Amino acid sequence: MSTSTLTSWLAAIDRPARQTLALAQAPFRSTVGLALAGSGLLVASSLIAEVLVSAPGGALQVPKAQLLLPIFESLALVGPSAVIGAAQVGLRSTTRTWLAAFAVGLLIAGVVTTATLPLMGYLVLVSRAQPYFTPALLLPVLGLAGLASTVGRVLEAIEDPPAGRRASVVFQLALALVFGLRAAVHLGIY
Amino acid sequence: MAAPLLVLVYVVIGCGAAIAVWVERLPLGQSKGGAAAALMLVFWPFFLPGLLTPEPGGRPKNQRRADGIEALGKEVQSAWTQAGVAGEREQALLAGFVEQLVGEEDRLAELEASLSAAPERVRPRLLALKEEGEAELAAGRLALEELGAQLLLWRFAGKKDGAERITVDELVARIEALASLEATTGR
Amino acid sequence: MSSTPLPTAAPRLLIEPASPFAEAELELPRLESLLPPERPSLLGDLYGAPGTLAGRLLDREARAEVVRISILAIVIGTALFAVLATSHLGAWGSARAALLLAANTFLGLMGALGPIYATGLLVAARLPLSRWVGVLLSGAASSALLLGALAPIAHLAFRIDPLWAGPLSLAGAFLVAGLSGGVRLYRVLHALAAAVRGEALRDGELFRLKIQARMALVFTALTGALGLWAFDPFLGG
Repeated sequence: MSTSTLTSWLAAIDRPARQTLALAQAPFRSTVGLALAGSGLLVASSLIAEVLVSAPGGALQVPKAQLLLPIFESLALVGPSAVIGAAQVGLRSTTRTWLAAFAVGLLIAGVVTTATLPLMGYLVLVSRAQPYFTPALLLPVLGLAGLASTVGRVLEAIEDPPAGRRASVVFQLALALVFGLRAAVHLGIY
Repeated sequence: MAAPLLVLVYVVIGCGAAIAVWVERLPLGQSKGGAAAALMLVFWPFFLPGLLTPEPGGRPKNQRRADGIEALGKEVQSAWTQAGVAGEREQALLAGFVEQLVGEEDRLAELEASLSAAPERVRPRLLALKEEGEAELAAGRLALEELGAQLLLWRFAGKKDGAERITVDELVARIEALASLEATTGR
Repeated sequence: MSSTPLPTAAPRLLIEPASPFAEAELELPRLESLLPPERPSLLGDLYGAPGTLAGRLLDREARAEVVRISILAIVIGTALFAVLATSHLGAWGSARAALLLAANTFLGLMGALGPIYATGLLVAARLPLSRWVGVLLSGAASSALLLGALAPIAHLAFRIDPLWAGPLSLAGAFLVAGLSGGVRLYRVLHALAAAVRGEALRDGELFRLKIQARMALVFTALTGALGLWAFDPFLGG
C-alpha cells in the first residue's frame, strides 16, 4: 500500500463530506475501490476476531459471521430507497454522491473494526470468565455505527440544515432497524 | 488456546520491527542502535505507528497570517502579566481586541480572493473597502506594539505608578476606542 | 473537566507574609526575581503544564522521546507502587507484583489503543495513532508517577490492617491515579487541538473532545481492570 493511498484514506476519515464530493466527481472505479477496501477490512477484521475469540481448544472453528451479513443486507435494503427518496424530497445528493458516501462509510467502518481487533486479542489473553455472548459480535455492530455515523455526517454537511439533519436521522434509524431485524434472524432469536 | 498464537504473532512482529530498526540505524528518541532495537522489540505497538504513518502536513496559508496578530496579542498579554498590573477588564479588552483584528484579517483575505473574480464596476468599491480594512488593521497592530513596548519599559523601570502608568492607561483607552470603532464599523 | 480555556498565570505580585518585626523589604530583591528559571525538562512536562507537552507531541523525534521517557516512568512508578504495597508478601511476591503490574499496564494500554482510536473515528475527532500513543502514554506516565507517590500510603495501610485498610488503599490509589490521568489526558488533548488548530475550539468540537477523553479513560480502565483480574499481581504467587 503506497503512502498516497494511505494519505487519501486518512483525508476521507478526517473530512468525509469533502472526500465524498471529490469521489462523486472522480471516475467511478475509485468509489468502487474505496468501498471494496473498506468492506475487505470490515469482513477480514470481523472474521479474525471470531476466529480468535471462539477458539477454545486450539482447533479453529469456522466463523459464523452472524452479524457481518446484516450490515451489507441493511445497506442493500435501505440504500436504494434512500437514493430515490432523497431525490423525491429534493435533497441535492445525487446517486453518485450517495454511493461515494457509502464507500467512505464502509472505509471508516473497516478501519474502526480493524482498530478494535487488538482489544479482541487482549480479551483472549486476559479473559477469566465465559461471557454471555462472544465479544467478537461487537465488531460488526461497531462497523455499522461507523457506516451510519459517516453517512449521517456527510448528509448533514452537504444538505441544508433542517433537511440534512432529518435525512441523516431517518437514514440512520432505517439502517439500524433493518440491521436489528436481520441480525435477530441470523442469531436465531426471531 | 489462541493465546500462544497471539504471543507468537506479537514476538514475530516485534522481531521484524527490531531488525528493521537495527539495520536502518533508526533512533527512537535518544535511544540508538541496540537499545533502540530492544525498545522496539518489546514496545513495538507504541513506536511502530510513528514510524509507519505519514506526518500530517503544515497548516494552510491564511491561518499563518492570522498567527502574526495572535502571537503579538499573546506577547502583550504576557508582558502585561509580568508587569503585574492587568485587571480582568483589561485582559478581556485585549483578548477581544485581538479577536477583532484576527476577524478583520480573515475578512481581508476573503476580500482579496473575491477581488480577482469581481466584475469591473464593483472593483473600485472593493478596493476602497480593502484599503480601509488594511488601515484599520495597521492602526490596531501599531497600538498593540506600542502597548507591548510600553509594558516592557515599565517592567524594567520597576515603577508601578507615575508617568508610565499614565502612558499605559492612555494606550488602553486608545485600544478601547479602536475596539469600539471596529465593532461599529465592522461588517 | 471544565470547559474553560487552559489557565494562564494570574497577574499578581508576590508578597511574603513576613514577621511584622522584620525590617522592611525595600532594599531586598523582589521575590519574583528569586523564582527559579523555567528549565524545560521532559519528566517535568509529564505532570506540568500540558502546553509544552503538546508541542513535543507534534514533532516526530520529540514524540519518540516522550514515549521512551513515559515507558520508563511507567515502569518506575508501577514497580515502586507494587513493591511498597506488597512488602508483606516477601521479596519474591514483591518482585512478582512489580513485574506483573508494569506488564499489565503496558498490555492494557496496547489493548486500549485501538478502540480509543476507533472512538475518535466514530465521533469525528480522529487523532493520528502515532499522536494517540504519545498522549496516552504520557497520561499513563503521569498516573504511574502519582501511583508511585501514593505507594507509601498503601504500604502503611497494609502494615496497619492488611484485611481492610490495605486493599481499600490499593483501590483508592488506583482510582485517584486513574482519574488524575483522565483529567491530564483531556488537558493534553485540548492543548494539542489548540496547537494544531491555532484558534479556539467550537462548542461541538470541545464536546467531542470531551467524549474522546472520557472514552479513552473508560477503555484504559476496562483493559487495566481486566488485566488486574487476570494476573492478580497483589495476591502473591
